[in-house]
Amino acid sequence: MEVVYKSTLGNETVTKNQIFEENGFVFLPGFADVSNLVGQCQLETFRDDEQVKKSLTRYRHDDKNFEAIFESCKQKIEQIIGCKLYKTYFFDRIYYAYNELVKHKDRESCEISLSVNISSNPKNIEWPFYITSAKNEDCSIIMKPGDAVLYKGHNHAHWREPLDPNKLMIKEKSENIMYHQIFFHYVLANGKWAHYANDFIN
Amino acid sequence: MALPVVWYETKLPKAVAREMLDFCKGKSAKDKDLSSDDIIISGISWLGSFIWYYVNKANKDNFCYDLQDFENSSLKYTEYSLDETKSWCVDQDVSTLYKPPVLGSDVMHNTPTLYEDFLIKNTETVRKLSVHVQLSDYDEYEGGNLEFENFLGDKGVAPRLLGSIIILDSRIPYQITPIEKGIKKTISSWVHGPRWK
Repeated sequence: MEVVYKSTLGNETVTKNQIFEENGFVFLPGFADVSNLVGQCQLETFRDDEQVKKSLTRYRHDDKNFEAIFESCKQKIEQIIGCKLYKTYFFDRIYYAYNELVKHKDRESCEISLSVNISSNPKNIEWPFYITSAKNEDCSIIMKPGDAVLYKGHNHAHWREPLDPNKLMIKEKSENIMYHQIFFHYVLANGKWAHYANDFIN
Repeated sequence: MALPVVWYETKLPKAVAREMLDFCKGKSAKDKDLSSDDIIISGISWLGSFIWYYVNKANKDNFCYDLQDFENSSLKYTEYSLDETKSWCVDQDVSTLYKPPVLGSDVMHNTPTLYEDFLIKNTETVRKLSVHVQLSDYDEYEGGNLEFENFLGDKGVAPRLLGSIIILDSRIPYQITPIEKGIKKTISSWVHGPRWK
């Protein structure tokens, strides 16, 4: 018999994955093959990011490699959560030294979100991603290239503290530090935000 | 730029939705569409006038078309159950419209008289807007999404929320994906007006 796990927060996105429901997120080491995306940082394709001051971002850029991973991640996530999805949008961001992602929840288009680390300089910077779980606990996750966090972006607050080279014991010069992350967003095909599919509303 | 699809999340109370369902299901056998299990509802009933407010608003705020009424002054109540679907279609295209006779051609003897031609040209109506009203909430069924394409080929999905009123330009393609679980209950209709000129 099919089991549907009810969220502890109520009025929330509900999937068929118990761990995802109990925590509001799951850490997926080595989830995505990002080898085709490493180095795809032509700065002229980026623009200033409004959410993270002094970082750079690209919204749903026309690149087959990114589109292919967007689709393949969708299929893998559908298997994990046992629910069909619609793609909404994706973007990538380059963080630099002292950039901060302020605590926030995402819009409805980010009902099911995947944050994937592409690369960093120096390699394997241990810069935590924080999320408030369904149990109301603040959890931190450190990602290496290809690692991902699957989370309910619209329901759970998430953030990153400033990328401070001193605190993170990074010896590289500040101006050479970068951290490249990509965000894939989806909505449940049978959910209350299905009409955000393809970010049509935007 | 005007939009090909407009929707309203009416936040319809569940009690009102139940009233609407009771009203639809309480219709007598004579109100059944003989070609299907659909139930016909009068456009001048309280239900029709509730929906007409949103049609009028969408038209005033977005489409700005010359509209007359619901087609046949009526709407229909439909239930989609397991595996039922509606493949990609458009509610109105030019192929079904009246084609005037070509003056001087050999087929003139089989064509309408000038009087009939004048009459048809000036009274023919076309479907201009297609209306769908959600009487099930998003979690009462699985599948059954109303998907559409705009004129540029971009795909969208209509809301599944109870009480959503979705108004599409009748010329854009749409489909309803197969129902995988539960029953999707909707009221739908077309709104017609004079042929495009």
